[in-house]
Amino acid sequence: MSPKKLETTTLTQKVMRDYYAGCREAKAQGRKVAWSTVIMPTEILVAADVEVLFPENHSATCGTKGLGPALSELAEAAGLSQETCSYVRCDLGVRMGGHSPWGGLPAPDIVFCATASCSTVTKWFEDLTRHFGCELAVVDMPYNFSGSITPHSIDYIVAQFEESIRRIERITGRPFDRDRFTEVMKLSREAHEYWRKCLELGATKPSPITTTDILVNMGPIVCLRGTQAAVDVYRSLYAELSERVASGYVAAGEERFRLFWDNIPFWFALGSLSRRLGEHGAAIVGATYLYHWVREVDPADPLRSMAREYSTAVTMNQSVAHKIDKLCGLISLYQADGLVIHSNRSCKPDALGALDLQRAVERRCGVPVLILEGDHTDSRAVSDAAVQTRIEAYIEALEQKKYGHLRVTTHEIHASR
Amino acid sequence: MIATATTPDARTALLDACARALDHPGACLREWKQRHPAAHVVGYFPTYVPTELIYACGALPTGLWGGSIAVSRANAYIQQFTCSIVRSTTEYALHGAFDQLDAVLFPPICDSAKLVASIWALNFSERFMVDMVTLPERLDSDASVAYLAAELRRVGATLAQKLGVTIDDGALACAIDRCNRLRASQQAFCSRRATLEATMPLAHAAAVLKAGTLMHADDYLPLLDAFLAELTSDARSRRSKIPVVVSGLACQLPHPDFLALFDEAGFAVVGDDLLLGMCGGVAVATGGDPYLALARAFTQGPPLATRHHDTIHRHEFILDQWQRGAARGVVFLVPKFCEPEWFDLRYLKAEMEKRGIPNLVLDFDEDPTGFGPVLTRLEAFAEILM
Amino acid sequence: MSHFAGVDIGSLAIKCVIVNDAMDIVAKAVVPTGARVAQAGEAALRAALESGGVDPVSIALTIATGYGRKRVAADARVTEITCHARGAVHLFPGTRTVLDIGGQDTKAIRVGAKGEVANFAMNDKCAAGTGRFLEVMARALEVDLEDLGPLSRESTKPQTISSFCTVFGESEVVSHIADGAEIKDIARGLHAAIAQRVIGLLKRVGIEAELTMSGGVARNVGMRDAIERELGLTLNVSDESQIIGALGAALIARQRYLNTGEEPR
Repeated sequence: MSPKKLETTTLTQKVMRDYYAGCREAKAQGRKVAWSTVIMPTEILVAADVEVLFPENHSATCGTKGLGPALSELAEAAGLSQETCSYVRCDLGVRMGGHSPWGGLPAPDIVFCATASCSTVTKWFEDLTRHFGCELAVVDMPYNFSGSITPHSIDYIVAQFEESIRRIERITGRPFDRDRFTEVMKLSREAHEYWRKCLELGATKPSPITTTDILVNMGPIVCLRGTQAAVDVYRSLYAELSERVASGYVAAGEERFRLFWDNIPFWFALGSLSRRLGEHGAAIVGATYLYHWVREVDPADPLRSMAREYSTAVTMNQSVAHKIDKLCGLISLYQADGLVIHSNRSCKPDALGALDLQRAVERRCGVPVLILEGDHTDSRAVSDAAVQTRIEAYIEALEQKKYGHLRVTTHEIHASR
Repeated sequence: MIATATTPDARTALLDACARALDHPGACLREWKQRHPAAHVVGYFPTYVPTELIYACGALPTGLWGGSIAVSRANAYIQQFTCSIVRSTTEYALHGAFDQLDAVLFPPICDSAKLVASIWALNFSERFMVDMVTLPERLDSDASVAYLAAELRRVGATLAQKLGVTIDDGALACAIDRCNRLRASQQAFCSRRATLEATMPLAHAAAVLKAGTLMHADDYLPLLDAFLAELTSDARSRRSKIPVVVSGLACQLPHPDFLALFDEAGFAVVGDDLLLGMCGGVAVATGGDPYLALARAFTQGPPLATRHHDTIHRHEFILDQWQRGAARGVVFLVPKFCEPEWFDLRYLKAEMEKRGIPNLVLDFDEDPTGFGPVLTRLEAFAEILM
Repeated sequence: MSHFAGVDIGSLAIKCVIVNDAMDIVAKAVVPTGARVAQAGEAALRAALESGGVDPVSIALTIATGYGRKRVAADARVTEITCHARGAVHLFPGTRTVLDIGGQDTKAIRVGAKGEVANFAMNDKCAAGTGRFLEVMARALEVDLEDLGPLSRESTKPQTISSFCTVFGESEVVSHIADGAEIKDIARGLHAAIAQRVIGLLKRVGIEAELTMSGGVARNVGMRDAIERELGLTLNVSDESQIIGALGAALIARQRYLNTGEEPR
């Protein structure tokens, strides 16, 4: 049975097209445009009628079109080392005149950078302000080393949110409308709720949706939090998935092996990787990455609740011990047969700790773990042949573990790495 | 021939003690513990951890620098696309080199440091306590100061509890005073570089500063102060050398043999920001809330690649050093796989080139071999400047 | 008449060039480096003197360059960066950029009108973009290094080698072979891959015409084609590309001697 196309995808694509068109129009009309990291409560900007664009999202899209190497080469020629995050190299490559599927992003009047995902974004956004000559608002979200956020950390983040609001007031020349903000936060909470419920349905065994299909529909939760459009998309997706679950629809064939994915995808190989896994009856049914957008925000206390959620929802800002707990919980929720960790050289905060994660998951969940060396957009750092060999060996290990056919142990895979 | 601007005794005593501290850190620690049986030792990862808190607990703060160890066991914990300091320190830890420590404090100085702290906490907590002094990444906000003061209070209390002591105001004031004196002496050492350059090679000067992070201030300061007291100025010394400024990160220094190449290629290093995190800080104010004073001093320190400040920028600091030292070029030392430094490099180079300042980029790791190409680059740079 | 010698101590070969007051090349020699660098250096000088019939007493100044420059007797030592620039400008006066792809490292050099170095960049420790990468790949393809260039010219269906890492690149080559790709097409892809890396290095110093290529890899037609195709300009390549460094050293020796008039220390 060939997989059905999700109807919601059509809506998502329309919503995203309208969003980019809206940003361009806003820029053309002289309205304020901001760029922001994806981990940032941009509801504040939405409430102030500032259009927000996300260079990380843009770079990932360039990655899906296979533009990573060409853009990286432009950035490297402009003096940025190959040892920096390839999202930044994609963005700089486009700023240097490289091709972008969206024709680049409209120039920002201000850039917002929250540090919960990494410290790399700070260096990136410092470069943006130098490039565009615009203001930079850094919102420092301290690393939660102990696994729980400290009260002074929350106070610090809230103070910076308030500072950001004052900046926005200055940039727009309008007082910040707190009532409007509450309305926006209500929409944000609703979209987040639907997103969470969609992921929960996605965890159903067998899966009603592939992770690739969820990724295709991710745009609004990343870019349009606090808008009605995002609520509409995820309400629709939730309804569609409920229907699929009720009718027993299976998205990815026989599902001999259910795999969970950790770290950002190989954007340039989304399709080929799932095809390759599919040949062996394996499907990626879930990913940690999707859970960075699972948050509970409280419109009654928006700033404090967002301070807590935005600095704790992402695994990059948590200790490895916390990440292990989270992954073990998700693997059991998804009834996964295995975990594939993308050791992403462009995302050290999410990739370091992979070896401890591997050991802990194998011990605690009893599932084999595969580590793939790679990069989220720069395919030059990924050896296709090496990926192929590792996947095949891993599948053999899964076979043996689940069906007892083959005598291949995961230790042999590790040794060959 | 090297001109001698001090009596050999003070210089020799200082260099010998520093060399020993660097070459035999384990033995030095054991000796120190024998002399202070009741005291604790607290390791800290570069670049900045307030050693005042450690002294206030009556403990010895000791910096955990990497080194030229062949990394093998650490490969089971940390990927190879990380800088050599996180990998080599982890390798040392796995060999039990830090088992004498009671606690280790990490600053979240970059993404790799955050994660390596986390990995240590997971794997080594039974050997020593692992905690993080979660420094703010922003240095340009009042909220950062209030936040850091609270964080330092938390770290101090956690550390004291672990060591079974209490930090009282007197002990903290005393520790602040001791660290202020240490910083002042190290800064005096740095500011007399022109004289120093004739007195000791760059690698030795770096060793003196680095040893200040390993030895107890009470053992180190008298040696450094005696050396400084005898150091007379010798303006003739720099005539034949090419003055340059060296810029890099505070957390990692190249191998001494690498630093020696600067001397070999005919350079006099007249300014640098290499050890800023260690000794470039401002004095901590005394009187008032000591935690607030420590926090304020940190945010007022010199610009660092891994901290953000809206209006104070790193290139201005380098240009200042360049001007003061009448330098002819700038050499950037970039650790392999150091993302923050590779980012800054692009902008720093642009700032230099805007002003027509010749500059050279050298990447490095802790590998103690393969310096031939480095010398070629340095000498070619010297040929451009000559 | 005075003569001036330049000795370029490379990892594989030692090149020696002797020039006269008028900057004409009067003698040259290339000998293998071997294990005894100091002796080989002397042997190269002797071979050059003999081949040109030059009286050893007429050598006013000798300059050594190359990675082993400190291991041979000479009056002065100058890095290969400065020497390659000087030599390239002598052979092609319009030279503003010099590219030297060596066995261990690759250099991009920007030069001023007098052959002085304005800026330079070298590859990092990684071997991609150096002659070493080609050596590894030639071995994987089981062809002689010398044949790689001419082979690539026959390519009709160029393959892509996208990895920047030598190890990954090798596994890509192996998988192309396994997929039945022709060696000439893989060879073409390899040269294109190195050209990409090298051009990145060139862009760091800024590419300005004319671009002169020096060093042994300059003789590889496949490499030259790939760079020319990518940059859309014609490279200067001399038959003397291998001795450009030694020539530069000899010319610098002459310049130093005539400018200062001093006897060497």
